[in-house]
Amino acid sequence: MTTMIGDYGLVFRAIVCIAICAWAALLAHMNISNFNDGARPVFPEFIEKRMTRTEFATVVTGMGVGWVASGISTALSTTFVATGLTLIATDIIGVWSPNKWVALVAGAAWGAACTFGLETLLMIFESLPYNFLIHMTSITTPVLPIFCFFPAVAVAGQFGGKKGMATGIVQAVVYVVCALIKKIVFGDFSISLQANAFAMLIGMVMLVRYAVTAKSGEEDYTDADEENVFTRNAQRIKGNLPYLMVQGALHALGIKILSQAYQPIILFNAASTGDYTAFYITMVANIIAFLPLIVSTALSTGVYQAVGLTTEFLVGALAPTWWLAPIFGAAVIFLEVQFVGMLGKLLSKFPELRLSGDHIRDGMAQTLSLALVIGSALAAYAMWSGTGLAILGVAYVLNDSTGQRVPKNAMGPFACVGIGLIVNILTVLGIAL
Amino acid sequence: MLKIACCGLAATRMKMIIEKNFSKEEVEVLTLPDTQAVRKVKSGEADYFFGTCHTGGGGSLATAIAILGYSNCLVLSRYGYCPKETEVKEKVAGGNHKAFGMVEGHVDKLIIPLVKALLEKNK
Repeated sequence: MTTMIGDYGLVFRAIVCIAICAWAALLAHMNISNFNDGARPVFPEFIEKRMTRTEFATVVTGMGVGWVASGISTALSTTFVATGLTLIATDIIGVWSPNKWVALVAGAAWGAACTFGLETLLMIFESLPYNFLIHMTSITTPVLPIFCFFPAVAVAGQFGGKKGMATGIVQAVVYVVCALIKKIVFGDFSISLQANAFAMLIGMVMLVRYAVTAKSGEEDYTDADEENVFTRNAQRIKGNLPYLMVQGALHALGIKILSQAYQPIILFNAASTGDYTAFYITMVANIIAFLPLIVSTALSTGVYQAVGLTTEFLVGALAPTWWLAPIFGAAVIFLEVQFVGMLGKLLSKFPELRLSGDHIRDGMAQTLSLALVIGSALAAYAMWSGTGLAILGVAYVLNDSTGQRVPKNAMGPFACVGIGLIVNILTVLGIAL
Repeated sequence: MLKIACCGLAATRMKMIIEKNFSKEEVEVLTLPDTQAVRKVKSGEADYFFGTCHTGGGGSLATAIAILGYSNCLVLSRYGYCPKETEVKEKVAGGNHKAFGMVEGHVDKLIIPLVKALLEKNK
């Protein structure tokens, strides 16, 4: 038995993960949906036969490889199989596959490899003389307290330093007050004031307020040609609705039973404490952050995002029982697809909202990146005090200065695995630390 | 003078780096939502589009590929691969790209060589 959290057994999780990967690879093969937002605009090159399958698949593979490395590092620090590991790979599998059956079978094989591979790896690590997995999860410890300030970073980026500082200060005050009071009690009824969640919430409220009241720049325009393309593509996506609804159902079920994670590090905090508030708020921000990118790439290509506007993960996690999750997931995909054309028109009226998406994603990336460095330092120190920190430090800096061959966010966790393995070797050799 | 539109996750950071290292006579920086920026490049009102995202080829170039076409766009750096200064120069000189995508974490290393290479090309 590993340190895996959650109430659902390995077999159930494996079956769902296999189904998710098989289906996602099939839909990528059929040019119905894909996960990597960057690869999506290349699909028309292939659909309209300006690229051969090999050329196309090579481009998609090149864009995805770093993600898979990062997915493995996330899996080691959270025990979750996350979308970076599953769906980036199924994009690649789907586009290389010569026909539908190969896509389905190879996708399923990848799903099985993810679940059982991770389970095996965790079991091996746990059976080592020095079990460093306990320390690996401390990589996620500093995440929420730092990540929850992403709205301040986003505001600073979009509306300038002064408003960014103001947002940061308000967030910090809310954070400290909540942390001090902890709980409000009215007789039998009590609300726990989770500092991370409330600070994040007030920050998002301020960001949205700034975005709505900001002096809007010039209104976006679309020429008649583009308008036709958008309308045709919205129709193409609607035509694939049954396929997409099945996918939405699978993903919502996947997150409910923790078979496939999205925003894995935030989800890990939620699942291990049982308090999902911060995860829900993160997902709302995530939907706002990705909506402009997903809607515009979907409308300009006719290929939908494999996880939709990510609302399926929010409703999947919110579902009270596991069997309701897929129903919720299919329902939100149905709604998204009905409104995708309308959302496109709405976005061109509010260019500030498009910018907000970029800045929220930047804020999330920057805070997460810092948190993972600090978290890795905590883990390295717990495993091997000063020497651990030294190894982590040199690995991180060297990787950075030699062109980041390992993605920046994955380097810390990988260094920690390395430190854990060295400590094991020394333990076996009988060398006391 | 070059007109460069900076977009995506690191738009503000790119603008700061360019304005710090190049004179106003050399480069003018625009920060706009990506759809507007790409249209300006298409109509010739701006010369180049710089996009940034987590992956380099991800959201950074999505709109540019859709509007300018894939052949006009270059994925300069990818997640896990950041080119050296000489490689940047070769890539810029070797193609005729209008839009460049890069990983947001690589901006500090790539922007100066990229702008230098573009200035040289347009001399």
